[in-house]
Amino acid sequence: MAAVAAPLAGQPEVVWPRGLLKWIVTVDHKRIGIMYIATSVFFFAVGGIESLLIRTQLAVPQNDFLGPQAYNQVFTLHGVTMIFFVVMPWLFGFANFLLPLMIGARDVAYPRLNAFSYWMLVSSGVFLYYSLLGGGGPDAGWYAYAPLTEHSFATSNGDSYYALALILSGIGTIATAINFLVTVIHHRAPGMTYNRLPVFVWMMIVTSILTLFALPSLTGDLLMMLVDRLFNAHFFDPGGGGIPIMWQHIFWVFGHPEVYIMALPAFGFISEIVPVFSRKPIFGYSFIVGSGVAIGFLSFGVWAHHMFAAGMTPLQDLVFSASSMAIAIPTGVKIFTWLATLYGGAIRFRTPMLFALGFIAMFLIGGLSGVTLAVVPIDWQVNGSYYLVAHFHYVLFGGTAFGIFAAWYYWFPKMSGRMMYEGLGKAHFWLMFIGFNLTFFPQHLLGIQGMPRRVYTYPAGLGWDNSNLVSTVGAYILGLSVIVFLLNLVRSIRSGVPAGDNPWEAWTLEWSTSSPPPDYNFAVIPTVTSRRPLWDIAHPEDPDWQHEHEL
Amino acid sequence: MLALLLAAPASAASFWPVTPQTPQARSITFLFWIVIAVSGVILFGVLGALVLFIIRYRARPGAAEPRPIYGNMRLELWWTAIPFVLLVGVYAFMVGEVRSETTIASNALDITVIGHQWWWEYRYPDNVVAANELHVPVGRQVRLTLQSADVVHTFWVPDLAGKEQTIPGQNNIWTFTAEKAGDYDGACSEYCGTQHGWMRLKVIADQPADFDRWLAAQRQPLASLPSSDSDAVKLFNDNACGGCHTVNGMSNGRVAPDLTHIGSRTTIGAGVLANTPENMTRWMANPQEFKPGSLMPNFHFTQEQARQMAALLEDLK
Repeated sequence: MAAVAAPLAGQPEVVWPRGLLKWIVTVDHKRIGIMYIATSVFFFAVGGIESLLIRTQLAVPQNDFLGPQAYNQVFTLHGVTMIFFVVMPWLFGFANFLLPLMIGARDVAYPRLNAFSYWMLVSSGVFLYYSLLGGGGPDAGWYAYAPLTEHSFATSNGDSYYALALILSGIGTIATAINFLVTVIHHRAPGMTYNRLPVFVWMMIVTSILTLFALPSLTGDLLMMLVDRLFNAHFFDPGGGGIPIMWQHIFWVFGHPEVYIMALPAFGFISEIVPVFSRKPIFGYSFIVGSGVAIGFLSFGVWAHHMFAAGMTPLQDLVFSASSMAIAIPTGVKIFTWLATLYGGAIRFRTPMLFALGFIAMFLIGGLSGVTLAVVPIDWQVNGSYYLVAHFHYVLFGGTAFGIFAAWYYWFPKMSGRMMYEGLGKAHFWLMFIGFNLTFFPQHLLGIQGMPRRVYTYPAGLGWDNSNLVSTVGAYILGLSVIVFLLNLVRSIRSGVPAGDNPWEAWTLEWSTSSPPPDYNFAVIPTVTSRRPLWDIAHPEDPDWQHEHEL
Repeated sequence: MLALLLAAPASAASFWPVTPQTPQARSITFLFWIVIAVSGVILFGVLGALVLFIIRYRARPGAAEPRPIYGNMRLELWWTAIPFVLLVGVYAFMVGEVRSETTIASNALDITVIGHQWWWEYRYPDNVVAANELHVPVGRQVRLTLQSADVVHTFWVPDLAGKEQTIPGQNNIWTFTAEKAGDYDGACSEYCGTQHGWMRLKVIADQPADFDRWLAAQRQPLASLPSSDSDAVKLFNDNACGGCHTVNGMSNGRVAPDLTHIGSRTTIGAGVLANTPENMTRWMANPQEFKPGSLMPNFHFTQEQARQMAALLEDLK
């Protein structure tokens, strides 16, 4: 298998574009993946600066660092940026790079559609931030509850730019989901059965299906809002017979699957990284895949748990509470499965593994606070408060973002051909771990104490001052950790140790080709005999395919 | 992790800082403790196993690859079944609590709560209208009908009950039974535009006799209308204050808080300032300084005019 990376002999000489043009015109899944990731890093810096503005304003009571108008735009942009321009493209960027390599394909099914999706993301980001030059940013929060977005309440164009931007990026995201699905269905290497797909690929199948069915709901909601705003329709205007709560329902029909669109790929990362650094196969492959599929199904039946305080009947509340609690079961299976993978292993504490272990601990806390929110009366108390802010940051930052950084340190050598520096990587991890917990753990208490989310300031004397200050200090430590990461990145690109094909002694197909892989990925399409093809080559005495019946 | 959990918050001494004061809020706290106890066992069990495995199974130099373990059906079934049973237990507790928290006695006091950008309107039986400070009697359940005049808001007083949205075109019902006289802080907890931050509220639970006295006083028109040729009343009329604000006997605007008894309230601007003559003068001089973006415009009163207006308002008890 090592020979597959050798360049093709006698390949005809073709004049390829060079420099920046090489990237702009590319339809190669690896370059598009890297462009997605680079775009995400850029927006991560933007959204991160926004979060520091938020925390600076809230550091002390009655602060006037930002006025309410500015604050409201900043927190809206922070949410929209982090969800649609950081987490999603970062995950989809990794998937773009990895998916064809992991299944032994030369590219995605529709390379030009793939490039189209990426450029939709870029134009969408331009639209969103152009709003700041065009009269004011969006200021209705990332879920923009009607009728606050109606023209009579939101008079700047910000919310129209928000709607246009998310409609555009949504089109690109839906196209990518189709692309991934067709690629997995049609472009698997010989022998790469569904039962042998890497767990990450399985999670991307589920994520793509969720995207395909959830995103159109958002697009429809946004279109109605735009028609209301621009042409005076009354979908959400009660004065004209519209129904404001319809926005909430349609939004969360998208919004809850969206949570899993942002979580399942990270579950996939962890399920690839934990086995390699424990030197053991994933424990219970069919359960870790099956639990991901179960989460995907359930995620469409839980949306109204965001609306327990919206005046539904107790029966409706209880139905959505039951379905929401049910999601804890497959999620628990995943956590127990990762633990069991560690059991009896020989754990190597390299930077990817540190982030993966951090992911398990932090995501566990986010998952458990999620169960408290599924309990209707507890939700009545803490929903809409800082407790909720703490909860979803434990899921999306402590969870997904730690997963993304685990993936970063793990696959950066494959993408660039160079290793990231280990010392700076560990400094990055510990600063981020400490900063993250200092920022977000106290927010649980603030919520319980009665601090609503999205307030631009708060009175002194309610017992909120210390926790807010701790949270702000934590945010600055987080900012420092990102600077360490960026320094490491620049240094590693310039002078990182050459990685070789398989620096981690991993077992999936992307490690069988060179780092970075050639344009065509594999000179010879590999034939796959098990879930860990490279293990089989290294261990002919005990190949994995002999164990496929054991879960 | 344990150290973090204990050390991070300065308020660790009182982990549950909300002090529930009603049967409804106590029921929520009860459920919260149950879920926290179950979650705590899982949290420390899993974190303990994680730390143990990290220490026990770290790679040793030169060691051979560990023995592969591909899975274990029995374990998988156990860790599917046990959380299922725990969740069913929590759910069963919850159903009873939801029922008790939403049951409303037939003698409950009906009050309509109307969310506005960015203040609260309360309408009692017999056309008593108040703003921002909700007086309720101790010992009698209240049944709040939540409405909105504009966008979605959420009525939340943590010590008394959870929260419920006010949605335009919709009547949401909410309830609690105050058991102890006192002031309870609350706030709007659904983002509702520029001044969401200063859409605070207060519930004042009075002993039944005090409450009846308060209600009777609110029901009264002003004992003595200010003299109509005073400078302050001229200012009030010249600046069309009555277009938005009601003062019984002087005006009937309904866009902004009823001012008939403003002098008897404890705060100005939905919590932004304590209600003192000095603060009222500052507020009159420029409300936008304290609540920027508020719908109350700056009338550019001189200091003397602001003082006169403040004196007028503070007299409206």
